[in-house]
Amino acid sequence: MAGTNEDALEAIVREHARLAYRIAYSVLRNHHDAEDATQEIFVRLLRYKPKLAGIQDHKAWIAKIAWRVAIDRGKRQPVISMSELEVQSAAKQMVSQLTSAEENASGSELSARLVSLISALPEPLRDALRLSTIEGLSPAEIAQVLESSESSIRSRIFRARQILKEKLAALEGKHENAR
Amino acid sequence: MKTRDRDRLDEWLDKALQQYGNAEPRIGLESRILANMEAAGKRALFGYSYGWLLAAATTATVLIGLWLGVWHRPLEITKKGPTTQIAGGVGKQMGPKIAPAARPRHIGTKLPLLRHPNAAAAVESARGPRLEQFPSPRPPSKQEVLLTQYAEHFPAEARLIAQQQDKFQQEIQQAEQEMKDASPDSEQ
Repeated sequence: MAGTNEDALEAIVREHARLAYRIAYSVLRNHHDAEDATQEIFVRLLRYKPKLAGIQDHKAWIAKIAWRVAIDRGKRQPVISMSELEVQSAAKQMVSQLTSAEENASGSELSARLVSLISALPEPLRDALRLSTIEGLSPAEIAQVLESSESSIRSRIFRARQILKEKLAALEGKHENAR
Repeated sequence: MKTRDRDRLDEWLDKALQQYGNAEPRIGLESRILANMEAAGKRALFGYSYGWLLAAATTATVLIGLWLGVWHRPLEITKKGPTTQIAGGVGKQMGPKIAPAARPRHIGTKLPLLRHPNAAAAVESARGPRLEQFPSPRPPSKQEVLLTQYAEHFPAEARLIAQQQDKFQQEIQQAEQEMKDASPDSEQ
């Protein structure tokens, strides 16, 4: 029985470790912290070892634990609040990179700018958008993680994207006018 | 034109968000997690057994402490007995009613002994060899001194007074006995 549990646990680790890591990374935005969080997630899982057989959807369950651990760890990190001016500056830099010829080469830099813009979103929209960017996590699973309805999650993701697009479009317009 | 811009922006945002969520861990994440879980499991087991050991040690300490307390307390009382008896007599009239053998209720308590002005003298007397009868812990009163002096100077009169007092005491006791015998309760 113990052996079966060990095997089940190992299978879960092998199957869902990357998902847990990505969820942690989406919140913490740091590889080292994300790995530490992933370790913590699976150590926590040890406590539930006897109950593993009773859990229906391991993926959603682990995603939920991963989200909670990451959020807890994120709260312990120093909060970097961005003013409207800083957000605009980040967006401007993004737009200039977007219009430049080196768009593909500077992908990672663009991503860093996008982090700033996403961080400035209202919390419910930000959380839904962050989870929606993770590969293999459906809106239904995001709804389970955030304890909300699927339609609400879809709506939040849509609104978050709209806000990002509006900010980018407005700044792109300004950028072109300045040229 | 605007629709085309929108499409372009959408496309770019999709790409950027995909990049945003695309985080790859270092190679061997699963193995590291499994190793860490194994270590954590062992630590938990170790902590569990140590917890039992600690609990057992605590219980043993408490039991030994109780045992020592139970077996050593009577000895302490016996040792402190003379001191506390002296303390009980301090400040009271010494007479036949307060027998030295009568143990005061606050036996074993140290506070009255330490607070009393004659406490130091009482402790000093307690440190000496054990006597058959305890000496008075306080100096004799003025009346007692006068009585002693009178008995020394006029022993015959003092003896006569003592005899008369004994006789008077016997008469009183006899009268009390007669009254008891004559009462209706005794007849029944």
